[in-house]
Amino acid sequence: MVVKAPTHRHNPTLDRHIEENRVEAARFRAEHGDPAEALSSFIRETFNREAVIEAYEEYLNEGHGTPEPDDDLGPDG
Amino acid sequence: MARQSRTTTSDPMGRIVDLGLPGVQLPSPLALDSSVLIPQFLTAFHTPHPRVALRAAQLFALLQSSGAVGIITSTVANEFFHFAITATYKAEIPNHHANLVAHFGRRRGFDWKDLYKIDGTILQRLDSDLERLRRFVRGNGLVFLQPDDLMPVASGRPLDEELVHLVGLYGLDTSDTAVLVEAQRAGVSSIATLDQDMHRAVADFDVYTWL
Repeated sequence: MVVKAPTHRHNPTLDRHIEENRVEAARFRAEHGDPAEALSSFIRETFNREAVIEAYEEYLNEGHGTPEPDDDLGPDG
Repeated sequence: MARQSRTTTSDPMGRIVDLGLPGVQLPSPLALDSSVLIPQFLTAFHTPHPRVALRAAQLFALLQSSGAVGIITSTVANEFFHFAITATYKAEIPNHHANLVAHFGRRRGFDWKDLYKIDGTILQRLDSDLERLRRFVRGNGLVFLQPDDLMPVASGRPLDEELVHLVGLYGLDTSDTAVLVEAQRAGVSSIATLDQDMHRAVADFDVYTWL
């Protein structure tokens, strides 16, 4: 099968927003360190673990995402 | 433009890329489906992670290490913040049992939507946390699409007609299709997803996923 490239459209406005966000993200990293860990830490401090798991199960039941058959989402998962 | 006359997915414009293979490079920008964003909530709590959270964490790490930019459409933003609201209301249900019984009578259990119907103050108190969540997501280098990022629909169809047309073309529900329409209008032709349905976006997109 010949694979064609999807249609790319240059978007200078998005490029500008990406650059602005890059500056903001660098500032965030300087303030908070590893941004992924900072996000995880914030989520742990703000949200309830069991409620998050229940909400995720509801999200899957609504047809979003694909359940992994061997994934245990329970508290000890 | 080819897409204007497309009525079938039998000749895909894109490809499916397995992120499980070594050495895969991410394109930039790359649209993120909610199925890779929302599991960040699971990543925060689970040790060891369920596979879905592990993959989402791997994608975040790959975005960071490669410098690729993840794009969040307004539809995905809605789904992401809606998830945070759902989790918050679910956690609050035990604290509002008497109020729920007073409104709905005794039941075996209450849904978070019951509590949402009778108490908007929980959401008002959550406001500052949602704002922090938004900033933490942006701090991870992810970009929320803005209205002026969206170019006219490439096919020239009215937006409603384009949405319905692409639902039929992709065989995807409206919310999934809306994500793709927005990405296209932003000029983004790659998407990362953990949702098997979204593989059908290969008609017009490079789909980054785990096979």
